[in-house]
Amino acid sequence: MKKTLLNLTISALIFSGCATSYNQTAHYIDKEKLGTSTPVTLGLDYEDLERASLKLVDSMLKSKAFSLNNPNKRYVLMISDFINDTTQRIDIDQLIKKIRIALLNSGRFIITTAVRAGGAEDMASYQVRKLRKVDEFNQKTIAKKGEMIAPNLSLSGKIIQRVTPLSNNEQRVDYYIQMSITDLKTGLALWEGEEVISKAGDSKAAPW
Amino acid sequence: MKKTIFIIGLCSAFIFTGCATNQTAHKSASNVLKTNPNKYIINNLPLHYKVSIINYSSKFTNNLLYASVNIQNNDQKRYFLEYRFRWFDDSDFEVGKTPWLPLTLNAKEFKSIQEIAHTPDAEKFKFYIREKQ
Repeated sequence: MKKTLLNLTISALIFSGCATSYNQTAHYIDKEKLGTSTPVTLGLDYEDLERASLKLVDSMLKSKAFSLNNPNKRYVLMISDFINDTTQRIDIDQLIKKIRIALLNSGRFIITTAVRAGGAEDMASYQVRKLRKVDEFNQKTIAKKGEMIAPNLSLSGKIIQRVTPLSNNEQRVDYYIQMSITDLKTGLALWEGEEVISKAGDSKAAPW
Repeated sequence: MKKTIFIIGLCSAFIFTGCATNQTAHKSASNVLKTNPNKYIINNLPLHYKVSIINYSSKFTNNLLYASVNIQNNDQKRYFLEYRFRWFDDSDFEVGKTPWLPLTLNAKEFKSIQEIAHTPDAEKFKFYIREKQ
C-alpha cells in the first residue's frame, strides 16, 4: 500500500514537472507588435516579411499610376516571376499573399489565378473546361469560350541578400525586397518599390 | 513595474478621429485635402509637453483614405514609441487596422507619419501612439 502511494506521488511529480516546463517553453507571440521586438534571427522572419509587404502595399496604393476614373473598373493583376537570391529558402507566397489580400481589399485590383509565370496557379479553371461535351454535366453550367479575363498588369520581384563582415566580430546582413508592376500592354513598369531590411549579429551566426 | 508600464501605455494613447460628417470632400474626388479641426485631439499626461501632435489631415487617394499626422518631440530626450492607425467606416465600425509600428523620435525631432487605408470602406481614422511596450 505504502509502495503504491509512493509510486503515485512520484508519477504525479513527474507529470506536473512536464506540464510546468511545457508552459514555460511554448507561448504565443504578439503579432500586433510589428517590428518592435528584438530580431531573433539574422534570417528573414515573419515580422520582416509582414513589415516589408505592408510598406510595399502602401506605396502601391498611394501610386497615382493606379488611379481609375471609373470606380467600377479594376485592374487585373497576374503574379509573375519572383527571384530568391538569398541563402534562405523563402516561400514567395508568404510575402505575396499579404500583398494580394491588401490589393484585392482595396477595390482597385483583382488577382487572376488562371495565369501565372510557370503555369496557372489554380488549374481548376482549365479542368472545368475539359468537361465540355461530357454528358454527365449540364453544359449550360460550364464556362464558355472567351469568358476568361486576361491580366493587364503583372507583379514581379526579387529578394537579394548581401552579407558584410563588420570590425567588431559581427556581420551585417541586408535584404533588398524589390517589386515592380508592369503594364502588360506596353511593357512599361508603372510602379516600382524597394524595402531594405538590415540586421547585424554575431559573425558566426548563419543568416538562414 | 508591469503595472506602471501598462498605465503609461494606456495613458499615452492619443486618439484622433479624422473625417467629420460635415466635410465637403467627396470620396470619388481623388487627392482632395480634408483637414480636421484640432478639437478631436485628446492629450495624455505622461507624454504631455514631451511629444505633441502638431496637426493632422486626411484625403482620399485612389478612393482610399490617406491619413497624415505630424508629431514633434519637444524634449531633449530620444523617445522609443509605437503607433497604429485604426480605420472606421461611416457607421463607426472598424474596417481595418495597422499593427503597432515602431517609431523613434530623436531630440526635438519633427516627424510626419502617413498611412493609407487598405479598404475603400474606411471613412474615418483613429491614430494611437504610446511608449514602446
